[in-house]
Amino acid sequence: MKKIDLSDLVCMFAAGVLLLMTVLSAVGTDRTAYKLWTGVLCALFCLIPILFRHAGVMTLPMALILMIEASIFVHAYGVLLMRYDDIVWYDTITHTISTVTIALLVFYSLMAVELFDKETHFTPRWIPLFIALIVMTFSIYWEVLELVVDTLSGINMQYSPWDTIRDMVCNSAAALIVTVSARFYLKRHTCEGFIEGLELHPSLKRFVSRSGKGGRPVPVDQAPGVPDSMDVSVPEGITGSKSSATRMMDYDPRK
Amino acid sequence: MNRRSLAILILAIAIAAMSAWKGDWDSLIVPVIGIAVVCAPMVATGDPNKGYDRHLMGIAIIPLVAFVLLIVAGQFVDFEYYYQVSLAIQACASMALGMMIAVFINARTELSLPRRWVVLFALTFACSISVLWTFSTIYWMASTGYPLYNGDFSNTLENDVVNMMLMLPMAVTAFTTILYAVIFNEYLKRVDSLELSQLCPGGEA
Repeated sequence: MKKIDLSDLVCMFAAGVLLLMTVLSAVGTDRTAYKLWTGVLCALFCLIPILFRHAGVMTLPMALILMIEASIFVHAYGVLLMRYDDIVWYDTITHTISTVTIALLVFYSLMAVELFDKETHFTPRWIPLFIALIVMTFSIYWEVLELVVDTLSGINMQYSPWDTIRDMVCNSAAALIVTVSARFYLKRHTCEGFIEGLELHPSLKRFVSRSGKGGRPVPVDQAPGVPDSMDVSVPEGITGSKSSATRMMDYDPRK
Repeated sequence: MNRRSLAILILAIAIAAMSAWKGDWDSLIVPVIGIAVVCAPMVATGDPNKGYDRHLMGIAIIPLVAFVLLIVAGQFVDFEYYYQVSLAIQACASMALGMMIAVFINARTELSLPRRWVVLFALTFACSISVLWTFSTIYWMASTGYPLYNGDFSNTLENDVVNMMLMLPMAVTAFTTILYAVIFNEYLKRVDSLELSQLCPGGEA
């Protein structure tokens, strides 16, 4: 069992405050099932990083945990206290924060693919382009989902065309922020160093490497005490034009 | 210049000319990208015969031919779903051109993408193009006096109708590109991954 650290405390604090607000809403006069469910579900989602860490799935970096908690908290706060209706620009803030969070998740996922999938090599120069395109596609799917829900259920998630366009502009701006940040980050850091810190579960590494679908088998932890060749730095003497990821894949620690 | 590249160029120029003649400036985006994508290998390598894999260029020719036929048919027949069909065809063309862009980047840089990532790149590229159509639509709606702001709406029905007008390019593209991605991914499985990722002499690989 891992020790409770600062990131766990942040998650528990956010979940606790949201549950308290939900209880206060439940005893208040303006309670609705939508509000209460939003409060409870968001509080549970706040705990996911703790679950991931203690179940050994992965250890999310503090910056991402803060963004995840902020995204969920700001949304739930807006629903429970009617901020979406009372403050004109509240939706703008939630969209921007949420898109930054999603863009970070995309960035981290691309770095994992870059490291573990031998067939795929994005290079630091092109990863930002993929972040921008994938996040824009996510934001389109989100707006289309809102349209479908409005059409099928008769509720009003999309207030007006102006509201939709403002959402798209916020999403684009947030994608741009992370894209530019990723470019600068990759100038000074490597994917290997970052992914190592995530402490990914071996089955997750296998999934990303697609070794079960005809790709090259990727060495992962087989038993306690057996070193993972993914985590072994590249030995001296291996040089050439191949990517660092390819070099790591080629390295056999038994040699 | 190889035959398939020439066919794409002629079709793209024809679509651009017809779109300009009709004043449909949104439809200029795809043919302009098509011309740039087909010319890119020739310009980059200095070899006028350089093109893409013939399967890939075959995929691009189909929606361009369909678009030409649709524009011509639209001149004679009043077709209720003309705009929706035109968006679906343009999304298909955008995806095909997106795959070519991915292959071009693959061939000319250190980037290395397998088939599934080429298709995913194309999907995201097509979706991003639809955002341009959406921004163009909001400009058109604003300039023609449609209600746009939250305070402009007195009832939900009006809101839904105007929202649907704005969202149509993104909605059609989002749904159709998923279908195209599945089809293209299956179709391109018969192409050798290495050949797909190269610029082909004469486009006949």
